[in-house]
Amino acid sequence: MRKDVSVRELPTGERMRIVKHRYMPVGLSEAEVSYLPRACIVTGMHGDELEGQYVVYELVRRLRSQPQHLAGVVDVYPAVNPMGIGAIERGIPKFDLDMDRIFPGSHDASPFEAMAADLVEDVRGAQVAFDLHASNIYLQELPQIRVNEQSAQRLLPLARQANVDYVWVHESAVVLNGTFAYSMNSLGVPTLVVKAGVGMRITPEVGEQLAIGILSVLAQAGVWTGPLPLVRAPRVGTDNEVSYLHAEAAGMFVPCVQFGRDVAQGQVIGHILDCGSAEVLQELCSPVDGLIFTLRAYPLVYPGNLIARVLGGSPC
Amino acid sequence: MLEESILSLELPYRDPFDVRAFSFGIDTSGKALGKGGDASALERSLCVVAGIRGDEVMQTLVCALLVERLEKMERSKELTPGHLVQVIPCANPASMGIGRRFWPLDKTDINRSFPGSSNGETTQRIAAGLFEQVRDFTFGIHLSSFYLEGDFIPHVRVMHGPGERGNHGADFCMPFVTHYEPGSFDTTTLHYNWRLCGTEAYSFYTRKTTVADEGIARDAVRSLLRFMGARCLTRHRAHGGSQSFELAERALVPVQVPAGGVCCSAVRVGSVVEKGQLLATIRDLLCGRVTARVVSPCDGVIFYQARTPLVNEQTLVFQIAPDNVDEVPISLA
Repeated sequence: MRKDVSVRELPTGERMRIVKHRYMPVGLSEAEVSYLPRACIVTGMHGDELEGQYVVYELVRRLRSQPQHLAGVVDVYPAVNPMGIGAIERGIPKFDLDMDRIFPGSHDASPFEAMAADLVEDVRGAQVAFDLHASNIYLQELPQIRVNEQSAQRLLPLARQANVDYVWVHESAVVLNGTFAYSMNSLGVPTLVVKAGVGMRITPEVGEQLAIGILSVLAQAGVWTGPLPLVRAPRVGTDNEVSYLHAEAAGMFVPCVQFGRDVAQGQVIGHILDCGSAEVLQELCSPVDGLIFTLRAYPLVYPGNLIARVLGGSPC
Repeated sequence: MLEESILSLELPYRDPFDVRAFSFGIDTSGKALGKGGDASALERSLCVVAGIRGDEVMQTLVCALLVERLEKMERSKELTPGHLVQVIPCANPASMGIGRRFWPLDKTDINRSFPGSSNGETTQRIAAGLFEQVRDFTFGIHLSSFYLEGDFIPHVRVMHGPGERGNHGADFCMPFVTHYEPGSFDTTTLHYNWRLCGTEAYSFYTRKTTVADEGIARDAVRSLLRFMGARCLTRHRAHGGSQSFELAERALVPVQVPAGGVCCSAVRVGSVVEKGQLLATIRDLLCGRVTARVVSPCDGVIFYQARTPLVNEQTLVFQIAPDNVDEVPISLA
């Protein structure tokens, strides 16, 4: 069942909509399922992050092929920033603020903040929620869940079931108070933020991995009773266990390691090149032994641009 | 006057990013900066920053005209000895040069990157480098722009919350001083971080942003000079100005449109309106039919007006400063 959660008219007469697809046990009415556990899957918050689209496809395909195993309600919101997706823009066209910084929204400001408020209202009361993000176009990320340390105790048991490679428990930052996940966690809905892949692309294996992970969490929440493959045990780390590697020169970055693999301290990760003069401007080496879970995907770099994150603790 | 580069960064296939600062001051021996004056002997009194976003053309023009004016005042010894005044007209020339509001590569907003990090991403490094140069001033003025496109009655914003200190916003003699509580997305602005570090900060809003109107810019320069005069940084007297009304931003009355379409406004920023007065009509973009009439919910003055002619349903098209609203007590002064 498809339903408009929030609708606002555009100047051309077109309507901007946040759409929800509801999947529920066969033979039950809306009234009857209101007592059942509910899970919400949100994606498309940033219009240039498309990995969530394929996660949702793989998830819904599984739900629809085995409806007898649905014991609760699954609400899927595939495009909460539809105009951004259409324009291939991270943000909402004609609006300066990142959509994931305006929650819980407001009905007194702009239509976009009002739509954020409508979304919060619709998800409120769920047993569990996911907010699926890709990386941006500049970085490639291993499937990971990011958990604010304030919510870690409650969210870690769910995150461990989500079939991701890494769970990052990060320090709380005031600016993150405006995120969808922060608002929903504050309202008592355990909400996991997933980040995976790269911007403007779909990586099928990422979609399959995360769809299985979401089903696993739905099973834990009593929404799904179907068979599940074993999920991988993620590495769990804090900010202190992540080392960063930044560009110090302006040029073209060319990697020479494979993404998602372990590297040794001092191992060359890539080079920044001045192509016109065939000069190597910077050789970038891993600061620690560890796993490259973030790697630069877009070649053009300015000084300061992130090249890699390595999970491996403090430099040796 | 001392002109110097305060921040530079290599850019691929472009000239380096280079932020210029103009410093003014007369030391106690009567020598001006750049003419043998000793900058280290001056109190860091005022820093004015504009152009953090590349489309803040009016804000940069205001600073440019302020630089021109301060240079003359320094020559004519109208600046009070012992004070350093620094002006940074364009903190983001890389974006302004190509007509982009945000950072050219990743579209991040430098005014959402403070206090920055010298080891972080490019915009965090720029924010950190800039903040290092502008911190530790007694007063800080950021000529900023709003996150929604539109025009304002000229005003200064005073932020409450962490780092809150004295309020001399009325010294600009602009029509309004608005007071607001910071939201989570304000915590990475220059204004917020200035306050945290002990600077008495103001956000200064001109009537427009993306255009260059010398008349508006000169009015803004006079407001800045009035503030400088009141804070004893100059003996120059910029006459005129208004008696400011101190208004809580939450008291502004929002007016949103009930339908999408072409918004044909019947009023302008600064118009005095009465309850029930027609403010705008919304027409169907394709057939011209009037689909909605927007009327004023109260008596007051149009404080903000959206600039975009095409509006979505629920677009905020006006904010009205209502009559019969209590003034914010000047308890902070």
